[in-house]
Amino acid sequence: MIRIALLVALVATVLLPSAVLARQPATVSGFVRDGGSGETLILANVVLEDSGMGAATNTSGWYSIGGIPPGSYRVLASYLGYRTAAYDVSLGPDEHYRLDIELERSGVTVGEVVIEASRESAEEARQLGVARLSTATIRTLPTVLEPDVFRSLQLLPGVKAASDYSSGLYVRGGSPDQTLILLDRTTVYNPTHFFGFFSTFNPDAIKDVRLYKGGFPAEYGGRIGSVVDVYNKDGNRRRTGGSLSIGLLASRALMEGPIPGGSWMVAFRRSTLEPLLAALRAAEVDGIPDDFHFYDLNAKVNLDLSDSDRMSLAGYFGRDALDLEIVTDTRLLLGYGNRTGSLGWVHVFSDEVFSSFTLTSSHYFSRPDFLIAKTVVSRDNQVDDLSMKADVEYTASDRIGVKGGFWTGVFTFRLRDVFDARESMSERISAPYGAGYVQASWMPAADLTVLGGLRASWFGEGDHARLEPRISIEYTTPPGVRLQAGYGRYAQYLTLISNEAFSGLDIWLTTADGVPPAYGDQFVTGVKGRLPGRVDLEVEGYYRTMRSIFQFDPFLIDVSGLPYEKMFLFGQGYAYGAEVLLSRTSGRVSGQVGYTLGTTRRRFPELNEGEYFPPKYDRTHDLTAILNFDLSRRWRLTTVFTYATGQAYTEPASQYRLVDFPLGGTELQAVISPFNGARLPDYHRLDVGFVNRGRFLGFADYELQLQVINAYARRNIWFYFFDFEDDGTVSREEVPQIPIPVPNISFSLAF
Amino acid sequence: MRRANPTILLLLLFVAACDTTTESVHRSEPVVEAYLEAGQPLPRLRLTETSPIDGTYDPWGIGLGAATVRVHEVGEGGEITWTARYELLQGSSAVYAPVEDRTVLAGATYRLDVVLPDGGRLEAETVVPDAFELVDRNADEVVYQGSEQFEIELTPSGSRGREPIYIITIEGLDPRPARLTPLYLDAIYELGPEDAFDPDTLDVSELTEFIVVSSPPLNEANYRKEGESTITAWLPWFSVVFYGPNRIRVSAVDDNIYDFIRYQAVQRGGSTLSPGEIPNILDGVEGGVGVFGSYASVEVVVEILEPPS
Repeated sequence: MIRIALLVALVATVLLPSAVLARQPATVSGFVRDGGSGETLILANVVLEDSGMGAATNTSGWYSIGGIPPGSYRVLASYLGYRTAAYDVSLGPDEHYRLDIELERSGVTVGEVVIEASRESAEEARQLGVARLSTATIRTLPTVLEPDVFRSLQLLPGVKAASDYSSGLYVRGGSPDQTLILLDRTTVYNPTHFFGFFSTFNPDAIKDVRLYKGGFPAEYGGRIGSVVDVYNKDGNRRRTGGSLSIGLLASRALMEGPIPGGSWMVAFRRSTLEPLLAALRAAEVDGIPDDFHFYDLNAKVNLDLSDSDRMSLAGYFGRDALDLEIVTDTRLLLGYGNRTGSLGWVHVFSDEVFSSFTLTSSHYFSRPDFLIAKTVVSRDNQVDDLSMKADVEYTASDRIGVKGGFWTGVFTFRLRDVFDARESMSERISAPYGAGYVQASWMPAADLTVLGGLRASWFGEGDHARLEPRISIEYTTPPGVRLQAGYGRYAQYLTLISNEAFSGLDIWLTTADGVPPAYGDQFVTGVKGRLPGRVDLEVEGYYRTMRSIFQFDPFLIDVSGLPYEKMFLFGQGYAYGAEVLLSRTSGRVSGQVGYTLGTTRRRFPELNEGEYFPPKYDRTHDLTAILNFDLSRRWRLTTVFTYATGQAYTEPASQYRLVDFPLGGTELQAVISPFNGARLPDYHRLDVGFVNRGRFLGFADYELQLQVINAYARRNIWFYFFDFEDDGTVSREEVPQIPIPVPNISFSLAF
Repeated sequence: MRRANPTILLLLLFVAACDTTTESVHRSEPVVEAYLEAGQPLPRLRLTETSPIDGTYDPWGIGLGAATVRVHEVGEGGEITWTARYELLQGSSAVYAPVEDRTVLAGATYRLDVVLPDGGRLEAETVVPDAFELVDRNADEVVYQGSEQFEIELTPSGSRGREPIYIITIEGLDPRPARLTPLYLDAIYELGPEDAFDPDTLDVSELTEFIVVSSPPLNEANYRKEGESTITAWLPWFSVVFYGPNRIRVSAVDDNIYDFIRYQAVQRGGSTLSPGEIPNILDGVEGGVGVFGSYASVEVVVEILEPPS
């Protein structure tokens, strides 16, 4: 009781002065939209000129500025690539002024579509640990065959790629399963196409991508590392239009348009590899599948029921399919993919109270069938996640904002293995889960912001519950330099069985009795400011722990009949590092330079004799430089240079062989090595791309992209393979990453 | 108080974050290899040394020939009940044989004790799986990929503290290229069913590693039917390399063999570890590496008939 009383007193102490001092305050609130399409703009900046008051729009495009003393003001709304809009308003005592804002594009030339991280446009993007990417950036960056969201995120400091072949995100020392992937507030469990080469997100359909690299607030949870929050476009509310894009790997089409009181959007993408595969098969190249394709479909409908109510229905369907004859009488059939859906309702209770409610459904499946000499080995692997979430934001004053909500649902996992027509394993877990949070932002002074929150989470399988406090503080010095610090605790109830080289068989497993959740603490600090020449500087440091992490035991050959908890290795880890990002978002020459100095370690009793070791993706130095240069109004040159320390690997020191083994026809070969004690050669690569834009036959805008990946043919090493020769020696084979320059060409029309 | 120099602090951070590498240095270790089979005489034992990774491993040329080798039979209380003395086999530098015959007892514990030429010790222990028996078989011959698969019914084995783990081994008793099943004809010689070929012209040495093939270690839960006291093992068609007579052997293995094989499989790749991550093998050998393992087996011969064309 004493503690509760103290808490109430503390809250009252914090809240009451603002309430008393801000006598009869007024409020300005509303949506911010693109004037051309009516699309809501996320993180647009709305300020009252010369007052120090302002707000950024939330993920629904809503803003609210409260606690405004009565009087006349000029409201300025800005967003990168848009003309700043100004509105003069007079606010009476206790007036609730609804101001919906539409911003007009600023006649964007090629040179102005760049990475969004500037102070003017995206206030939240400068928050601790947050990075954003515009879809224009994603589409413009040189890429292997197809523009890709995750491969673009891999260029940010603190985010690493496992290899050229993987779009998996390794954020601040965390493995991919430590990153929560959300599409329109719905969890996506296998965000890959092409077995991990690409991510599932169609860049044409996406409105906004935000990456919380760490220290994220209490409204997010479920992973101990980071969050990727992706929102699809709502669709054009003004006119019907679309775009077409033809590429080497896939082609894309998007249509969007208005409906009475709303909008719709449909985007479809399908691989177009069939002609290439047919040619390779005709040339009798080994290993060419009889069929390989993937597709995805994004669709969304929005409807304004009133000025204060808005409904949205969004869906994603994606699938990869493979039919490969390996040798005679041996065939692999694989289908995997995701289906997600969300039904959202945004309701504005008042100018100060904004809410959103979402029902989500996420289904992931992976069904491999191996047919080997009439022996069928098959797996049915499914995840279903049905959930309901609610978020309520309350703008108490110009200094205090409160947000709370919950996320509850049922996670169901099914895994059934059949070997030679006999069920060898069947596991089904259906677990309710829930999380609730409350967070408050408080500005005790104009230059100081405190964001504190608490998240409580529970997972039914094993009946595990955790409390996760979060806090961050930001102080802005007079020249506009932001000093930031944050701490958070995070819990995770899921783990992923995956392979860096092939994501099509990914399996999610949960906590249970005897399998406690993983948890970790994150400490983050940052300094952000603007340098001369319109260059933004961001420096962040982090330290994070990973405790009680559980992962599938890689040494288990057969799990039949095993108790569930025996399927895991339990360990821990830590990571720390520093990131520097220099970015210039406008002008004829723009781009960014990102550098990461990082360390990550893991420890499992079964590996490296129980000592800490660097996982393969540990890279001490990581440098990425993106340069955009407008050659003319129609031509742009983009280059991406990446340098990274070589990854950790195991270099064997000794070998031996067992030649008398009676239960097999061959000798057993083994090596002795310090685990991951060596480093591959340093990695570096240059990608170059040209973009040409203009009008196409008077009815559409076209965009032609000519790109070369690995322009100077750097032969980066993926890993070494050690092969035991018949003469008693061991040879080392290099398995390269993309070893040659890979051209890419695509042509897009927007009408 | 002296202020810390920011340059030095930065340098310290940089140095602290520098790549940590552990030099891969070869240190010669003794390698032991012995497999005790329940109901059979104590086996011979091979004692060699590891080779540097850039050297050559010759299991006949790098033997540890001056070691003192003993295998103790250990009672339930841990006491030594009997000791077998081993001597170097004449003409060999690596293979030791028991001086006197002794049958390996199912369920018994055996301890290896080796005093190496340099005075070092090598020790290992194995618990022999319980013996088990063939109860029944469904056929003497089956047609390859026919409607009936070959099945055998067995009494289950037992193993101290855990469920039994089995390895099924198939040995082709008539291993000729002309007798290869289509899968292996393609896998070994890259010949499809439509390809005409003269089997006498094919290199038979390519067959060596396919004459005996084995399953990975599999848990008993794969074979036991709910509520039944016996287990039923069957022959998956993909494991049949040769038409004709095949010896099918079902072996219950001890922890040492099981651990060695599953760790060795991870070393060869294909696990959930990233490519290039190679863990050392868990083998239960103190003072060296290798296998001092045991198993119990039953075997039958079945005729695999080539399907009518």
